[in-house]
Amino acid sequence: MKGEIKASERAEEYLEALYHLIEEEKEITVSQVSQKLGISAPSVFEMFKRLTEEGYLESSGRGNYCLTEKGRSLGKQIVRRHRLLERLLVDVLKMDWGLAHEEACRLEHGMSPEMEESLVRTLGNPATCPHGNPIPGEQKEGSPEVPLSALRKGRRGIISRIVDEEREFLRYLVSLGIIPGAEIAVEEIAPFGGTRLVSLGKSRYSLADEIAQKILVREK
Amino acid sequence: MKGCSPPPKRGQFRRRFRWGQREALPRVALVGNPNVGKSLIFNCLTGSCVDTANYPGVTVDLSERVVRGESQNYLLVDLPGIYGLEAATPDQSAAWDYVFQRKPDLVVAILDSTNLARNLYLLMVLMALDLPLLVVGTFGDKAEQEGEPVNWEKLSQILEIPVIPVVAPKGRGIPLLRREILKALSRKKTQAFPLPYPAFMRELVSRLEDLMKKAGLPSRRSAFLFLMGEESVRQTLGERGLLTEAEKTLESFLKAYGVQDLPGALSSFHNSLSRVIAQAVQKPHKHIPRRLEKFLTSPLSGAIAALALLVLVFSALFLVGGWLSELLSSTWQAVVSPPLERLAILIFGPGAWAKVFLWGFDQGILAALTVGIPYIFIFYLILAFLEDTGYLSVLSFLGERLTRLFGLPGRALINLVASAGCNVPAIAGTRILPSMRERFIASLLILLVPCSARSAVIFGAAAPFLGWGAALSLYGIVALLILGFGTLMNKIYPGKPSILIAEIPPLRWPQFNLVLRKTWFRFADFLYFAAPILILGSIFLGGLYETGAVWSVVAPLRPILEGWMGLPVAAGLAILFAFLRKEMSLQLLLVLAAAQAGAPTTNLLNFMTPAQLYVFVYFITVSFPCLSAFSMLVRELKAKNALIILLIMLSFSILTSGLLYRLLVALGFH
Repeated sequence: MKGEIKASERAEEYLEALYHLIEEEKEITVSQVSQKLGISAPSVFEMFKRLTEEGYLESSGRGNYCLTEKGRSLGKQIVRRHRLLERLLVDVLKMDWGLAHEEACRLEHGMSPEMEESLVRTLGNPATCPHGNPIPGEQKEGSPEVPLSALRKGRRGIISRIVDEEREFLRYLVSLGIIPGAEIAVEEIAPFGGTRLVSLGKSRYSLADEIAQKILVREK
Repeated sequence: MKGCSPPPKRGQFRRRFRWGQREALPRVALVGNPNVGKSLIFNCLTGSCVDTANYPGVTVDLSERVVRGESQNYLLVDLPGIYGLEAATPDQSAAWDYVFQRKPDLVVAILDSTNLARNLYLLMVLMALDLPLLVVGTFGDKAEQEGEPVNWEKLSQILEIPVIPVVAPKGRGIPLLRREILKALSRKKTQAFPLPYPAFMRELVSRLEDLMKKAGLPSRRSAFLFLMGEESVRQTLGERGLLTEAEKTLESFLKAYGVQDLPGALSSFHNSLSRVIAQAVQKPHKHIPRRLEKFLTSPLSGAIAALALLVLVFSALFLVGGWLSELLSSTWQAVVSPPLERLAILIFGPGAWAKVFLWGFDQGILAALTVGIPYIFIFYLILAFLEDTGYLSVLSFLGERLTRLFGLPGRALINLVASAGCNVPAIAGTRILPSMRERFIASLLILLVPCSARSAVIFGAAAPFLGWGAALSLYGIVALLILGFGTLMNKIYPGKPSILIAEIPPLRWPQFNLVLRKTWFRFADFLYFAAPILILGSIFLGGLYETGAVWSVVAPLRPILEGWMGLPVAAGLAILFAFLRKEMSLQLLLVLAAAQAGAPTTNLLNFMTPAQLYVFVYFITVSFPCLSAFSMLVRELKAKNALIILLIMLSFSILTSGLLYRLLVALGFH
């Protein structure tokens, strides 16, 4: 039992590394990974075999591998959690950057989705880790951050960010439940394009265009 | 709700509770999100209402009422709806001002079961403020119907505060609420569970608490307000010389823990907490179809419905109001005027004084009545009804594109349409607008809209003598002026349009007796305020007229009237009296025309040229508000703003009247 957890943690480490590599290149080889992680080629090969069996990786011939959809999303999740944790360790606990990375490696595996969500909220939905790398979103690829004003009638999205300088205004939005992570749906758009009727949880609001432009969402 | 006694008159209160006694009573404030049924509960609790008086807030009046309890009497206040500590409108800040300045002994937090998470957010803020709390859950029946019952006992256990479910329309839970309020008042302190803040926050708060104690402030509340950046607490600390210490403490904590935006972090914390609690006590959300709402908000059907409604409001004011006004006026003249006249002669003897008396108590009261009951009461009734259904917010959504040209929210449409009936209630109705900027712009535009009295002048003076085209062209000019002034004011008035978010609450069928009560209170308020002004104003003008002093008032205006605007000086008299009642200027003009002709005449052209008449009607239409409208303006916007509006209108209309006169003469209308 214990061994299995360990193994899956190791698999997660691999997927994380692979996700990083794939951010730069589409395909990877055993030797690239072995170099990058400083692990012997045979053990990397061993792991690749296992990951392929479990459906995280697939061989694209000639010793090249690429991540499957499943592998990509798990890798992304780990990266996301890692970078969120770094933010927590550095911003809140005032930990050294270097230490934060190692500590985050250790903590990232057992995290529940609830904790991830509360981290996002506590940290104010940060866009990057302390080192400046982007924190990947939890949505599928292909749903970029767009202003709410770009969403068509009947569409829904998750609020990712609110771009406004005025903090009191942001807090007013919080009191209405308009907060990153919340799901928002465009119910109607008033004639001549402009005011939007949105629903959010059990509340419905009419939002002027100016506000809708400040609320960034990822379409669902 | 069993039979409420009719709203008592003001004097009654003084007999029962003198000011000192009243001040000594404990205060209970109803606090909650907008539209959670606060007023309904207020009404139920004050059902056997003892008395009412208005507590003047900063910009809105909050009404405090004495409730008689078995063991103790208390003052109950129904505060405007709020979402959080951040106030977006004057009535929202008035609610917080009440909480912080009048320091209620008990805050009854009202939670709407059909939107629990958001309602709990406000409760978290109230708890953070360390206020003595009692919680009431409303619309539990509705939540149950929607398959989402709330576990109130569990909520009470979590919060460590008594929670009382109330279904106000059926009166369920009200007796229990009465008892719990009394219990809570005798307990003195109702302590909720301390919010589970992170350790550093707790430490920071306890350090700040010590400082607040030193400054003689309520410690927990002030510490929290200080963290939220509240100015008043900083000011008090500054006066006591403790501000730098408090700031240093805060600074050191923020630095040590790398927190950049503490108020923001606290808000998000309260938000998460409220959602966690909501999940714990209520089953998850199910989709609820809202067909009527969909119909009313969808662009096409919604616009048609809105248009139909606006036409209805307009015709109610224009036709029904006009008819009622006529009826009241003729009844008054037939029934009240003759005995009043005899009375005046009895007291003052025949002569000028009797006539002055009649100006005030015959004409003056008549003016208050013929504007008050038919227009203001009807409009207040419609407004209260629409407010209680929640439809105003729907209108706000639909009409916003148009009104935003003027920097106004969509709901201002209703004021603009209503003003065509009578400006006075439309100005009073600007209270639904969020800031002075919007209220100022809206009031100015409202005053430009020809009310039914001014329409009477246009139709009575311009149409018969100058033709329908001329009469309609005046409406065209007014429309252009509104467009121009609205756009311009939006550009030059400092600040930005503030209402950019409005809640669209679920539509609800209003309680009719509540609507009536609200209408009555607002209406009575108007009467108390406007009637004395109208009577005194009438006496003053009547005195000027009867003593002949009026000519020496009008004479200095000769250069403006004759020299610039091209009007005969006698017309200045009619203009002066238009200030009392707009349609009176027409009557007076006919009298003057008759005097000029030396014989009764109904043809104004005997007295003025077409160009003069057109300019006269134009001037009467856009130059200044009547006395009722002006007194409402002073009441709603304060004297300074009212005077600025008056100045803008007067100078603009004098300037353009002269130009218009010259243009007309040049076009050959002389």
